[in-house]
Amino acid sequence: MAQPARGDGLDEAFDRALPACADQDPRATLPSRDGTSSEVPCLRVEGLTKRYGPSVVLDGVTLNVAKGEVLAVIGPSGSGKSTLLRCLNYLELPEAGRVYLNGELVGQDQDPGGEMRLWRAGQFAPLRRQIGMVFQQFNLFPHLRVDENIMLGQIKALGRSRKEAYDRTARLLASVGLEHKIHARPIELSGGEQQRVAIARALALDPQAMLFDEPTSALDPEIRREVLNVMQRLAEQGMTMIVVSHELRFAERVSNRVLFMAQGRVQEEGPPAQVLRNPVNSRTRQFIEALET
Amino acid sequence: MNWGEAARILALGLPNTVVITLGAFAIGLVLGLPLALARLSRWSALNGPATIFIEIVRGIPPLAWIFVTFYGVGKVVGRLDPVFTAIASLGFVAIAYMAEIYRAALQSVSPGQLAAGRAIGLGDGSVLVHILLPQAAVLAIPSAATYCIGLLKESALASVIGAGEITYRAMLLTDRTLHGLDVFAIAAVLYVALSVPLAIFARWAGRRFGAHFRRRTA
Repeated sequence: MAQPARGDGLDEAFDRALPACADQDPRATLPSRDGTSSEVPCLRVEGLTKRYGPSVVLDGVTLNVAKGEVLAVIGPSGSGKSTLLRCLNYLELPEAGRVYLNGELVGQDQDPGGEMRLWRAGQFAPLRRQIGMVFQQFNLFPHLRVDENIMLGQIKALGRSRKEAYDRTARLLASVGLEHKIHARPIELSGGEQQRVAIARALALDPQAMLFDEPTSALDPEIRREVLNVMQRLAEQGMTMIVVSHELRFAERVSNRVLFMAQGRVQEEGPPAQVLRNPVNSRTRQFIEALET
Repeated sequence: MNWGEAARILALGLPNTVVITLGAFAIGLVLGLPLALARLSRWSALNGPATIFIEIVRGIPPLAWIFVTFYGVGKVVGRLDPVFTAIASLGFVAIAYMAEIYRAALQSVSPGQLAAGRAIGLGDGSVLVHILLPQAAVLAIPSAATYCIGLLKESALASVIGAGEITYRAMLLTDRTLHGLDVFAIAAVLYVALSVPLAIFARWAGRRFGAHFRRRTA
């Protein structure tokens, strides 16, 4: 899966922007491709359940994501993929289940009685800054320039100085090929550029894992490439990623594992080649055939 | 009737009309925001009273508030200045209206903005100050301007307690000259002369601050 050398210097820029994970090949150090090794997973979810009124959106989802692993989550709309991501950083509050970050229970306190004891609303912020999130609609802050978008969290959430935050912003923008847009307004950017800024904004907080919620679904087909390239390089740098997407080719090429969800449950998971080429589950097969025609 | 003389007499009421309008609007502008936040709070100890306050204050005619203040409060603390009374009572009503305008504006900021702010690890206070309020302020401009123009006309109610603004002077002049149609035609021109610049200013402000917000049409 080695990438041909790119002549644009973006890879080097990426290495400089992400020194923490630039020195290791994720796949060499990855203990197991299916996240079931005995090593403490970066993210672990146990029995996650979420209801909206009578409808069950997540029905006891359990999964592990190893450090440096890229997990692709596919499935029909309404299957709970986005809700799963939003429960991982508690943008949505689950009714039951647990989330572990590097082996540590987060978002709730251990309760011997088995009752779920969620943190108070004000306590989630330090957790959320450890998990980067990229949205389908980009959600850049329209009243702020690109640099201000990327600096805001660094200054207000991490307490970095303006100078420090700005330098980091410049490096990150270079790594996504947008250093010339540093003073632009979001509205002046194309969708693909906005999404790359959104990725830089999330990376600026040095997250332990990145969640991508259909990052290319709102983009024209020819623009998707530029966002997927950034994501692929990020994966190659060893970032732990969960990617909800309909990009089956991306899933096949970049992910270590594919998980198929339907009706709020994990229906099937395994190596990309198996889930995407020879799915065992008939629903998976149906879904993939529908996407490919 | 001497038109120039009549216009001069009515124009003497301009400053009071402006002071009452802007004074009441400023009170609403400032105090409406905390009330809107209380109204949107997830704690019922805050949003309950806020909702009741807004509905009661809005439900009673401004004229009644003016009388209640002038005669009611005036009875307790001594005779009140009519202009002050008008500012205070219209301002009181403005708090409730502006709170609703702020609330609507805050609620029309895309929910993705809240999610994105939280996702980069900001507390809800920071999200409010740095992300939601700047966008809501721009969204509130058209409604706030409409309300301000409404207040300009409501300031005429202050004439009933003898605040010497445009309408009060027009009534006095009508009594003296019996040319009510002409006098109030002049008064109407003065009100329009005040409201049109306000509308132009609001439109300019909306464009100036909203320019980088407007959604690119796909």
